[in-house]
Amino acid sequence: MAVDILIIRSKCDPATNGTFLVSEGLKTYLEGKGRSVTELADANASPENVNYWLNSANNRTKKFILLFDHGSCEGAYGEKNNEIAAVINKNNVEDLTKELHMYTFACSTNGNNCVGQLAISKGCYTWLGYTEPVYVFTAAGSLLTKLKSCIWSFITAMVDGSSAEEAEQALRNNYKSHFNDHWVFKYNHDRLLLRKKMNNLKIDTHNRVVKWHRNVRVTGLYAHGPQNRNVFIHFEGIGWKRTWPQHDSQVVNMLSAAALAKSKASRVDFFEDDGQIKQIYVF
Amino acid sequence: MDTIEKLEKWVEAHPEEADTPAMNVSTERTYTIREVLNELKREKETGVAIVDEELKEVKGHIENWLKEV
Repeated sequence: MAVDILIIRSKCDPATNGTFLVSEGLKTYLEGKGRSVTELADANASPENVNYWLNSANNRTKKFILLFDHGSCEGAYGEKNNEIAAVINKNNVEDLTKELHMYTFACSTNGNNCVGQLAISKGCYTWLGYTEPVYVFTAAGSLLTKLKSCIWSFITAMVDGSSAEEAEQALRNNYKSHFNDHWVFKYNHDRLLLRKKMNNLKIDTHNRVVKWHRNVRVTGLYAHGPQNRNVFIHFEGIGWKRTWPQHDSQVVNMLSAAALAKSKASRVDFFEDDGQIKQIYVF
Repeated sequence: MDTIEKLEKWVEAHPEEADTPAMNVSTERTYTIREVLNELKREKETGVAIVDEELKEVKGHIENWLKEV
């Protein structure tokens, strides 16, 4: 099973009690928006579980990582045996964050030459984090609720289809709207930094399962008679991909285009979404 | 208006927020604005400067914040 979003939220000391409260209810909220979510909470926020859900070979998380925890220049933390433990560090950051978007409510992951910057250089699409330690309110109350609403404004914007820049601006605006309420809002705001691979990236247009394949050759075709819309195309160097099965006409048209490309050894471009072909060009 | 005077006015207007602890997630030390205000008053009254480095940093954050509120 794969999911759109992975939430990591440990709870093993006073600080993570605070970050845990900030992310309380987030899984249900995101599921209410139609997103598939896995939550690694408390003892489940272990290095092993994070690796299981993020390693690029198994591809179990498709779009977005949300981490509410300790952090440092060297990495982002979860917990093991009720003590903090690095779950994403400079050694595994490429494998675990490549082609994903990352938000950390954690200390110092996004300073210069820190793990966030390295992640972007290794293929992570966006990393929004803080350049220095963050402050959190550790008791339920109006300030914690306001801090939570700030942070969730970024997540909501990303999940609703905004670009990372737009979502970052939503977060900044929310922080600013609470500057009068406590110094922590300005402090966290001033240490926020978005690093990105390029401009205008969104979780639904740039992720691990949505990509254009260009200049490839069709090497095989498959249609399963007993089932409607069960058609696969084999691409050289890529393997079998299913045609998008929502409409009869699209399946037939794609199969025809692919058959033409195969017979003429033409080059094709195709758009893959979660293992299925949604668009195909034959040249 | 100096920092102490400005902060006193703010604390008077926001008593609940002034007593809410904020924690540095790295060091796990907590501070309330009222505590910092009291430290600033003590510093002024005794002439003995705050030596705690983290508290000095928090004082700086609050002074920076007060410029905008």
